[in-house]
Amino acid sequence: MGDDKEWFCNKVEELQRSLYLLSYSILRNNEDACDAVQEAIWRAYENLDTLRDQDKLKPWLLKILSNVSLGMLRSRRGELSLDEFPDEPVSDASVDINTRMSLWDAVEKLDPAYREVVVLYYYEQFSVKEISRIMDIRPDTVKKRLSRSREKLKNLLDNSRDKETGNI
Amino acid sequence: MNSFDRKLRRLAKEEYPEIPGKFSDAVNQVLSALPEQKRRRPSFWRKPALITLQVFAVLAAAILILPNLSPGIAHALGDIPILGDFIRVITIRNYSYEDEYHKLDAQIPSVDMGGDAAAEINDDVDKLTETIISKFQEDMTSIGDSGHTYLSIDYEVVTDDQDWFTLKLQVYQGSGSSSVTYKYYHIDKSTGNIIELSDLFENDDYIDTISSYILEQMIAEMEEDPQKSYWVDSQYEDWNFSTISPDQNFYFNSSGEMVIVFDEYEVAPGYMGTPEFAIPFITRDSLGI
Repeated sequence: MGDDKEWFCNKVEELQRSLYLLSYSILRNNEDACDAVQEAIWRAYENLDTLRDQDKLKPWLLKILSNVSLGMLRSRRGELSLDEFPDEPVSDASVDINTRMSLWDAVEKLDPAYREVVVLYYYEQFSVKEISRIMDIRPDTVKKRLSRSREKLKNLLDNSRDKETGNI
Repeated sequence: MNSFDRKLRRLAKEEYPEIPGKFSDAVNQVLSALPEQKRRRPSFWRKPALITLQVFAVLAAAILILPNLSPGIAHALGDIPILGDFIRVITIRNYSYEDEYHKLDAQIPSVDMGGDAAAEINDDVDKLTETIISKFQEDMTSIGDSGHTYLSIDYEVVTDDQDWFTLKLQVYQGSGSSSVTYKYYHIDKSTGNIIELSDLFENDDYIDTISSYILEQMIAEMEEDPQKSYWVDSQYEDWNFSTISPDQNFYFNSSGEMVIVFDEYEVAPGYMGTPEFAIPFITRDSLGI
C-alpha cells in the first residue's frame, strides 16, 4: 500500500495543472478550486482500489473532480443544472485591447458547460468519447458543446484580432 | 473549421495557463496528509489539510523542540476566576511565531484541578497540541518561502457549573485552504469522571435515535436552503452520513440541550464549516445532569 501511495502522489503531482484547469474552469474561483481538488484527491485515494486500470488514473480523477466541482457550484448557485446557468457577464476589463486576447481569456468568457469541454478537449486533449465518460454526458452533447464553443471562441479571438489591427 | 481547430489545439499548448502557487501548496498538503495505509477517514482530525490522526500514533514522548519559537508560561489567571466548585483553566504554554510566510499562535490550556480526570485531559491536550505544533514546524521548514502556513490553537470553557465542566479545544489551520477542528472534553463533577457521549446512555439505542434525527434535520435544512449541502445521498456511499460515533463531539447549550458537533468535511463539504445539531429531546434534565 505504501507503494500505492507513492505512485498515487507522484501521479497527482504530474496532473496538478490539469486538475487546476478543470476545477477552475467550472468554479472560476481559486479558493474553491483548491478546496475541490483537495476533496477530489482525498476521495480518489480512498477509492483507489476501485481503479482497475492504473493508466486511467487521469480521466478517473478528473471525473471525480468534475463531480466535486459541480457539486460545489450547484450548492453555491442553487439546484440548477449546468445548462441552465446563466451566461457569465462578458467583460473586457481583464483584457487589454492593445494585446491579442489569449485563448484562455476567451475560454473564460464561455459558459461553464462549454469551458469544461474546451478544457478537456483542447487543453487536455481527450477524445469526445473520453469526455463523455468524464462528464457523464452523451458523445453527441459533447460534440454539440464543442461546436458551439468553437464558434464562440472564433468570434472572440477574431474580434480581438480586429481590435489589435484596428479593423473594427 | 479544421484549421481553426488545429489553431485552438496549438494555442492551448502554447498558452497553457499558469497555476497559482497557492494551488500547488494545497495539493502538496493533501498529499502529505494521506495515510500510508488507505483506510476510512478517521473520525477525528478529518480534514485532509495538514494534520492526520495517524500522527498521534507515532507521537513519542519526545520533548518538543521548537527553535525560533518562544514557549513561555502564560498564566491567564485574570481570565478565569477561582470560584468554589468551579474548575480553573489556565494557559500553561503559549507559543507564538511569525515571519513573512508563517504564523503560529498557540494557547495551550491546562485544567487546574486535582484528580485523574484533569490529569488525563491535560495529558491528552499536551500530546495533541505538541503533535500539531511539531507538524506545523515540519511544514514550515519544508515549505520555506514558497508558501504560507498558519496555525492557531485556542480553547474555551463552554460549561462550568456545579455539575458539569466542558472544555473546547479549537485548532485553526491555514495553508492554501483552511480548516477548523474542535475537541470537547467533559467532566461530570458529581463523579469526577471524564465523560464521552456513550457514557451518558445505558445502551446503544441513542446512536440510531440521534442519527435519525440529525439526518432528518440535514434533509430539512437542505430543502429550506438550497445553499446548504450535507452528504446524505452522495454517489460515494462511504461519504454519506450514516451514524454518529460513540465518541462524537458534543456539548450542552445554554438551554441544556445536547448539541452534536461534526468536524469540517465529516458530513458536508468544507464550506459548511463544522455543522452542529441541537437535539431538543436530549437535555441535561433528561439525562439527570
